[in-house]
Amino acid sequence: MFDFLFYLFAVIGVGAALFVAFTPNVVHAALALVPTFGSLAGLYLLLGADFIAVTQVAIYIGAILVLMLFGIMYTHNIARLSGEQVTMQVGAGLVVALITLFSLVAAVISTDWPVRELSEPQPTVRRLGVLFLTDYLLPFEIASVLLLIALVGAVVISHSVQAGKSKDPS
Amino acid sequence: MLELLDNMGSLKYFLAELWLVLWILVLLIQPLIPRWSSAKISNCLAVLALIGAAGLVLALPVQDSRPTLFFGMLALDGLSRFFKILFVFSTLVTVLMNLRGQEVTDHQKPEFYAILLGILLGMFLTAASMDLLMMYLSIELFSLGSYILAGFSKNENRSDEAAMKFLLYGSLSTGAMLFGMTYLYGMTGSTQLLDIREYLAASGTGQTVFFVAFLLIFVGIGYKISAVPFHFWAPDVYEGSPSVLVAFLSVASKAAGFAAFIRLFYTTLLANASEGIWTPFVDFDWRAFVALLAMATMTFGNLGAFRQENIKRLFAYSGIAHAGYILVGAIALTTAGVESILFYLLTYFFTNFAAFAVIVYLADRHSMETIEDYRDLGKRSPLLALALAFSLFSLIGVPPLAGFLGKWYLFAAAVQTLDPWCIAAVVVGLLNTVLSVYYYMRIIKAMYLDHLEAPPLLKPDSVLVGMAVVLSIPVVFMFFAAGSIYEWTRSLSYFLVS
Repeated sequence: MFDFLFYLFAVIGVGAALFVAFTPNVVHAALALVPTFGSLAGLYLLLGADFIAVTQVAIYIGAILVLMLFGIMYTHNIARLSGEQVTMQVGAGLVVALITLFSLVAAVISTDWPVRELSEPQPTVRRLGVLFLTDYLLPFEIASVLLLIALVGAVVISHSVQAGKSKDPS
Repeated sequence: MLELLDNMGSLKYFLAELWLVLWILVLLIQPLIPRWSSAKISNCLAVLALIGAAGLVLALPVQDSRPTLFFGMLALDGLSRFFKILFVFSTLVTVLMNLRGQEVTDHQKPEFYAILLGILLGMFLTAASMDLLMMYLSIELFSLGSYILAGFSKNENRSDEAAMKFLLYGSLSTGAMLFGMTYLYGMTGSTQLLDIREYLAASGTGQTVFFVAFLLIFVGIGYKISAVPFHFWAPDVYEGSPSVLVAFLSVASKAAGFAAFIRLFYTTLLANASEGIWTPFVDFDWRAFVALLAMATMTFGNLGAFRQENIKRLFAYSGIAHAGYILVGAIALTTAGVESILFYLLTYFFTNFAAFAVIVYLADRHSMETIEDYRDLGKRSPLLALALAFSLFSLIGVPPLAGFLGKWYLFAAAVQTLDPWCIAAVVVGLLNTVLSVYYYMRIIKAMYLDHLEAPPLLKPDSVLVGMAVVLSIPVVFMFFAAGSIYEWTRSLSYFLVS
């Protein structure tokens, strides 16, 4: 049962991700992220990481994806722009991609990974909360500074677009 | 042996970082208060914040016990101290250069400084990180800030392009780095560098996965130090971003990359130094790999600089070439190699900032960015031309300027090992030095030998001219005290496992 679910989520995740990468339609690509993120949440659940699974759904599907769809909707002429993708340097790109793929696969196959037996899943929220306020307090706080900087940056960038009147064709 | 401090106990060694966060908030609130909202006050606040941070970093108590802070997240050692000093002064110089700049408009200044302080905080943490998670977060913090600031220029289209390229390449490379880190975590079961080190020392030899993991991590770090083949962003970003930011990136961002490089690879990959010589745990040829990268980086950087007409693009390629020279110090795998890297970064700090004080002045006030614009600068502004000429000679490595001293220590550290890869890298480095003479001399020729009939006048700017002069004094006279300055960097080159 575990194996079946694992492969099911894996196939859905990878398949949907491939669709995201190759479809010329931006809206379809964004929507195809739903099964990608969803199957990842499923994988997390399988591994007993309930909190991460829930945040995966809430943040990636609930917030980021919706934001992306809004972004697409508010962009002028996005439907007409779609499909105008040009792939340059196919040869070089292919060589690099194949080398990367080969080395990653070789690394995974040839490695003797430390495997741990799956234990009875425990609720993780409490333990995560304790860790966030003890061992991982510093990364937790620094992440909030990072988000603050990102937030300020987003405001500054969007503000400068509004201030530069010449850039807005309408 | 190692002292592990808890969160409360760490705070007293964390004052500089807390101070920076405080001033980020102050700078964000400042424009909201009507009477305080002028750009002058932002300038003052930023300078105050940085002077305070510099004081706190310098006053940081030296601990012989080399404690780790926040349950092993950060190291408190000479290496982090050295880099913090370098970063805080880089930022201070950058802010001073920007005081009267116009590329960053007055109403953007509070945000510019707030994000700059955020970048500085990220760099502080990068230099001290002892945990993969912390290292990733702090690298991301300073990268994200740099992406945003790259888009701050008045020259909007070019600046937008720069910011976009910076962001896209940057996310790709940090993504690769994060992926490499997950391999390490998967194998060793810990994100702590010291645990990974123990695992590798005990059993980890010969597994391909470690080679791939470190290679992927190097993608992220190589991007930061603009090593070939991860250098493609540099010319476009340097050309399009505000000149002050370019000055900052060319010194501080590169130094942060090397801080992460030394911290990560020396801590995890190499056995304790015995008599200053480090030996790798894992049996893939790390030295050959770095040597090849260093040689490629020097050569491509210098060849790329040949055809450049835009001075900022030229300096992007020059920066790539210098990243290659600095990597030579890492091939040596000796303590002397680490010391020489730190010393080189110090000379590079003075040299590059002196050059950029001139470049920023001309680009920001006069929109002069091509070599052609620099014609006759020797007559139009003798002081600026002299400062730029000295820093260019220093970048070439003409004795007895600072750049020569830096290169001397780097190459000497590499040659001392008598390893064929090191010798090869030094030979290539010397050949590259000869190559680089051509394009640096083009600027000097334009400044002194190309005469204009009626050269346009330059508006005087005491701050930038003063900075160019002050920064080029150490470039010229460093050799008087080279020994003691090198001793100072040596005294700060120890880190947790050395």
